[in-house]
Amino acid sequence: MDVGPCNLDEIMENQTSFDLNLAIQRWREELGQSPAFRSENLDELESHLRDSTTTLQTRGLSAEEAFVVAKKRVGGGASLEAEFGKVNGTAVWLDRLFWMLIGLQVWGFVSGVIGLITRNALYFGLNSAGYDFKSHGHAFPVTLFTLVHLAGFAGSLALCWWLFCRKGQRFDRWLGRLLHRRATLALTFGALCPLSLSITPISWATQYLLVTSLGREKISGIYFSQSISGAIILLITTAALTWLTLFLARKRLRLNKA
Amino acid sequence: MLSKELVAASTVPLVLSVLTEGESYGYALIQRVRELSGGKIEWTEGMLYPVLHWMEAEDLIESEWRESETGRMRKYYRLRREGHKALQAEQQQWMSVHATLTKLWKIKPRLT
Repeated sequence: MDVGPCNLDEIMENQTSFDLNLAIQRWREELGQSPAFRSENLDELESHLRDSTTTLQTRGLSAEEAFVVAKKRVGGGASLEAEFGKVNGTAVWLDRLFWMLIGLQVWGFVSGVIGLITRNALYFGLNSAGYDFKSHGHAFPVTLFTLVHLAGFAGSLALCWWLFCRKGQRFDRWLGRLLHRRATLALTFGALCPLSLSITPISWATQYLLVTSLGREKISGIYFSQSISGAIILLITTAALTWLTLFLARKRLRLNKA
Repeated sequence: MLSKELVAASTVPLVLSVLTEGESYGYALIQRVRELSGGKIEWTEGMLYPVLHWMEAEDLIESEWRESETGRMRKYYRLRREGHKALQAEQQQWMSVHATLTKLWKIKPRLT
């Protein structure tokens, strides 16, 4: 027989083993994802949880049972977070500001990259197709610029919607866990700042390349179409963002009522 | 069981009163209140800590991390002078509510 007493021991061990320290560590990490709790608050709550677990164990509960009951008594979730948030208001607001800043930078970077790629692809595409602005007019390039740019804008909005609304909590939790580690946080910020700043010099470089390779006359045609389509895009995106803001505000108000 | 509103209103005077017996820590404070109330006052235990931190910010109490008899670190709370004053004010308020209700309830006949 393969199954000796040694294996049996192992199976028994696995069924009954409960690591209290690991369970407490997990519980702590879960709470720690919220900015409402400082690490000192978590130290104090942990000390409480351990006292409570020990007392319950002396009344005959197993370590696991004691932990579950103690955890329930401490409470958790939104109400506890809200109460701690009132005391640690600065931390909560710093966290919100931090997320806004990340959002701003990511948005700047993504829209910058989309703009850079589509613009240059179109310039060089039109040029290699031999498009002549003088004889063909500006209607075609203006429409093309506008449509491609709007597709990029809609695409990035759709990506945001998919990540936050469809993947929702899983993405949120993953991102939260990642960013609450000090090293990844520093790395993310350290990488985002130069990345979003690097778009501008790259776009200068490609413009220089355009001017030198296409010549003045073609450039003025391209820039004319581009500024017209730029105005149209600005109008449409402003309208879309205004509508989105109002839509989200109304949704939020409805959630408050419920 | 006390209503949510009454629990919220009575937490500060209860904490101040328990601390007049000497310094204490969160878990022991809760145990003491549960014991004295015969289990009628049950807090969501975690909720006590934001209240303690608020009281500390208001200079009613002070705290200190120290090693406990179990060898683990524990945060102990102590009354400050402002806390004693606040307790006196609370006492007067609660006693006047209590006196009024007692008078009213003694006048009305008990139906049960």
